[in-house]
Amino acid sequence: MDRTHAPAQGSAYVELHTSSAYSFLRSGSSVEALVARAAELGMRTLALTDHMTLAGVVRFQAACAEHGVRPIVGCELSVANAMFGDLPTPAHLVVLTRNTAGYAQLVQLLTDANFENPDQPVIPFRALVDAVTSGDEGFFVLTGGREGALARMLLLKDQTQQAQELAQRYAALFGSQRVFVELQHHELLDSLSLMQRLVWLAEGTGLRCVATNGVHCARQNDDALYDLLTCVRLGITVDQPHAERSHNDQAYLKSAAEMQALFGEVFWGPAAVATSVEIAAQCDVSLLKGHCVAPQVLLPDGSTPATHLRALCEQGLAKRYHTLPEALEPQSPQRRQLEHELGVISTLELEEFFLCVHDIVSAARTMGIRCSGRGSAANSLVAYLLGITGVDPIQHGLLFERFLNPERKGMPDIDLDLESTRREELIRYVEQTYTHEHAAMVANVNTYRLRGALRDAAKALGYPLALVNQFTKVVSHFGGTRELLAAENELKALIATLPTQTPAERLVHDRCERRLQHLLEIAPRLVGLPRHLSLHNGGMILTREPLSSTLPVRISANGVRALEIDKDDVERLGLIKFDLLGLRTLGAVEECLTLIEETTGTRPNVDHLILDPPDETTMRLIRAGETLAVFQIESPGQWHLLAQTQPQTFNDLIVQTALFRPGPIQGGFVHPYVERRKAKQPDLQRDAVQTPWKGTPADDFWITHPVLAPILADSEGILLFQEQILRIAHDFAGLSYAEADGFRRAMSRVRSPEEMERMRGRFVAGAVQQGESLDAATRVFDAMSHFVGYGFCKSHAAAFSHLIYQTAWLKAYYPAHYLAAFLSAQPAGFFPPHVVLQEAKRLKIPVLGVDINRSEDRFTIERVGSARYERWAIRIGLAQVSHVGEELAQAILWVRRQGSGGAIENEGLREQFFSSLSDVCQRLRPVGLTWAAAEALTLAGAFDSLRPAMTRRQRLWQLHEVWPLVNLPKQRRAKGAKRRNQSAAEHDARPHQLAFSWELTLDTPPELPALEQEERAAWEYRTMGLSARPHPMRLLRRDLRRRGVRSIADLKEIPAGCVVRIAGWPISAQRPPTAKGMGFLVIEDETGRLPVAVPPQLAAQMYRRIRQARVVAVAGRLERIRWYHSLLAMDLHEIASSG
Amino acid sequence: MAHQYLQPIQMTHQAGQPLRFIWRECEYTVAEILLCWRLRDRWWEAPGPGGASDRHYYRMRCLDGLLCDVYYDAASDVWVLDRVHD
Repeated sequence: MDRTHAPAQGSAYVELHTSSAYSFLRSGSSVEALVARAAELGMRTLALTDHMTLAGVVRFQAACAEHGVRPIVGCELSVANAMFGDLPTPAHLVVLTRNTAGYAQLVQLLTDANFENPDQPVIPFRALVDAVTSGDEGFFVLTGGREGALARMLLLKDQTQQAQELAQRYAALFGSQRVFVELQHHELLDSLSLMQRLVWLAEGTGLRCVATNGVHCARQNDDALYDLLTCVRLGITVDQPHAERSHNDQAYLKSAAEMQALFGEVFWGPAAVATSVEIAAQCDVSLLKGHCVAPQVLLPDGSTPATHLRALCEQGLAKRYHTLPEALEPQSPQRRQLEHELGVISTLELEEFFLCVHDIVSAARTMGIRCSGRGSAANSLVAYLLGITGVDPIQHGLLFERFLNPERKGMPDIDLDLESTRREELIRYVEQTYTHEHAAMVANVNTYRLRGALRDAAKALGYPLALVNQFTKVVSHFGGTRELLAAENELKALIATLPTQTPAERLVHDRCERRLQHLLEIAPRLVGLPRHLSLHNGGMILTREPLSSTLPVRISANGVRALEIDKDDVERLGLIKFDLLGLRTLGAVEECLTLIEETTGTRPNVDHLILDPPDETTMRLIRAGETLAVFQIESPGQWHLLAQTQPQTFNDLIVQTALFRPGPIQGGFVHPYVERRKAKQPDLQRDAVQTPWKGTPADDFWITHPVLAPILADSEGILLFQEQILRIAHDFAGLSYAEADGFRRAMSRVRSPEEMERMRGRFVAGAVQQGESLDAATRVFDAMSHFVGYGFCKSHAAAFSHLIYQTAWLKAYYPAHYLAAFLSAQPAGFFPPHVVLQEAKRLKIPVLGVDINRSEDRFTIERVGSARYERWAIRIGLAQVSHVGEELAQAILWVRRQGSGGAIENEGLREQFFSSLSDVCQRLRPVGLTWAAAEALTLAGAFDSLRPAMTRRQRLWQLHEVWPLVNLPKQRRAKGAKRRNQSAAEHDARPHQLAFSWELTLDTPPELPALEQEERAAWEYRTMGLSARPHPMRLLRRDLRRRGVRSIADLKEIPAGCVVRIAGWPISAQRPPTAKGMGFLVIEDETGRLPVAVPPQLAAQMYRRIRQARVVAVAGRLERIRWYHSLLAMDLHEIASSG
Repeated sequence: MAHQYLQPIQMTHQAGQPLRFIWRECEYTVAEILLCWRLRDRWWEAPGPGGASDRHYYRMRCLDGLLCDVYYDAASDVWVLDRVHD
């Protein structure tokens, strides 16, 4: 039975029709702004009625709880029905849910509509009537404002008779107690007369009227934003009129006094205002949940979740520790930890949650999909035993309480990384196993960032598209108002480049100039407002109750079902989200293992590599910075750090992963760590490179304190991990681990000085009680409060380090296989594919060009060389060629292996090699070979091995000859061709080969010059983005030497501190926000790669100077740490254009 | 039938409510305000002729029987006689 809320004293009006920005481009205010304004106006209740979505209701209810406002959940529906006449668009009706049954029906209505028509969902009127009259008394219906059918009939068509009939139908179908005629007074010319006629209709049909303001923004001055967003939604500029645009600024949240004054002018007005309070009092739906509930899992007969989980853990214990029998003893650390964790899991009733994750991971393994758990889950022995994570938490001193403790509310966070290309398979498994009623992906609410806001605002303000594109390059994606204002002169300069020759051009130019101030003012106001819903990249919801009791489900363009909820709101609804994230590096590892198995017959078990001690060859590769294509540690910043830290153990790798983050860099933690590492390694030369993190000296307090030193030993006395905060709070200040984790989380989000002081008091008092001095306690608290926002989860770093180690191991022992697999997994990692291929060349791995008869779809491995000196070479795949893509590449392989003609044995496969260009075109045209793909394959050299042999230029000539013929109808083609197959009988026996059976007679191409080396490289880079040939910088070397430009390899012989000139391809350029204006460039020549640190003044021009450059020259001072060379740039300029 | 004038007038008002105005050197006293409405347009331009406007319209009957529409443009801070109804 629903509660009926007595009207609160002083609540003379409740707004029942409010659209927030979650209506997506139909409102100028966020949910939070609307609720805050309502509270400011003294409103005790507010309804949210977004258009055809409930995406904002969780935020709305949370904001209402924060401001002490009672929320009413509703929706503005687009409804279709024949009795609405010939209205050009569906009419709007507003529904307000009275109870949870009504809410569930609304969710179902929206879900059905989303599935019926994902682009423009519409509710069938009959379905709405059924829901409203279902007996649950779940809804009130309002007839809608000017978008409602009644108002539109009266306004647009003057169909008074039809409107009267419709009102009668509403009363008859919905019941006169459930439907209300909505009156809105936006102070338009016809507002009063329209309301008067609606009142007349209502009186004639026994319906009551209710006043609303059809709110679209919180404050009056947000109207411009609302109007602009309406233009964005409609795809028009502000100069274009449209019926859906606002006529004035009156659709804002008005106070009860304003509404009473407005409606007080007419005798029926006060009653309509008062009715809003009556309706509101009968609505009560609460969605926020205090706790999360795990989904139900299938259990073996006779098992409970607890017994099944224990049984699986026992199996895992025996398997994971088969080389350590003492771990299975009753009092072993492993057993004690297992009992502790199972106890906590039982207290929190999370057994089914763990079983569910285990089920998903097991399914992935069964399907052969590589996966690995990340995040704080790696702190858990249970997760390790269930195979969810791959790092032993006991061996690496990880702390379970960071993951789970009895006082922690909400679900623990387990993210699974999966091979990107096979993620969909696992998602299908989860949907099928847990059913569509209980499983769906999570939507993602895309909110405006500065660049997008500038783009949409500029387009709506009538700026030409080309100029809009230029504007958006001026600001960064995540910039703020200040950045936009700072760019004003640059925007003006861009406007000044507009042509002004003709009157029309001058008009556009003047308009752009005139509106710039409005653009600068309004674009930042869009930032943060929801723009549209998209699909979250991996979040999946599994529910115990049917999804229909939570939120509507949408279906994406590619058929994926997604719950209309933002990832950040999941826990508030008591739901559980599993992140199934695609990680291309995992795909590269799996592909590498497959390549190794195919070519050597053995498959290394990288999941069980011994981490302690780590393999010396692998660690040597890491210490030498040979880490290009190695997960997470392949960037120039990491090279720099590796040169200084020289990791020796797996734990050092964990530190390395956590240290190279914005937090430690900004917090000045890197330098002290490096200093202490140097102290342990006296051979390490002084760090001569000026880095932005120079600063804080090492402090002995932390490494000499008897309690702190062991906690911080792994990170050389540096506070680096969140787990260390927990241990300090526990060991130093005497807090329980559960209390310590609460303390950590509270510290990371606390903003008020009072709360911080309260925590300081608690911590310091605890520490003093433990025997610490007040000074020491204060000092530790201060350091922790400074650090806690930046801390990194050690278990997450450990899980990442595991993959770092695996990829480094593969690169160390199977470099050709790994780089081939890594190239196939692109885009992955820090550098573009041509840099990865250059790394292969640097490692003396032969690279073979793309070949129509030899290449597979992806990068592959071939044996080359003589019997005495055999090596593995990388063959470029067909899919790498532009316009070919994976689909056509696979079709080419299919044709090659199914085609006609004599079979040729190719490494065990029966291959029908392409014999000539006409053979290629005729056999591949039916499977989708396009002109663009054929031309690209020619330019890339894929046809070089065809007969008769000819230069690539001649082959291109030949393609122009062949292509028109293969596109002719067969009869006409036959005139210029001769039959190759011998008999009709043979022909009939293989009907699927009809299209392949013509050999065209072609003229010999004319003599054409062979390609120059530069031309050949240019064609290959243009069509593949890379080339099997040596680095093009080699072609410039003689000229560069003459101009005093050194190669990167030469730097080994030059003393640090010298000023040198280097030229190369810019392969990476960055200006990270944490680097205080510094820029970081990496250039590459035929001998290596060189990081260049660019001082702020020069860095400001860096992008402009290298934007179009293929080759840049840098003059700078040489810096060196061990093998690591870099330049501190003094000058930077382009020396050749990319053309 | 109505004639559109769009001519500035001098309006005497109280808290925004029109009381009397001078048009073509004659003074008209407002007897009754029949209707009010508001129109906002071209907020993206600067105020002025053809620019941003935020008009508060009043349909009023004057003591001498004149039935007219007058608006106050808050963006430009001017009173304008829009049209006179026959």
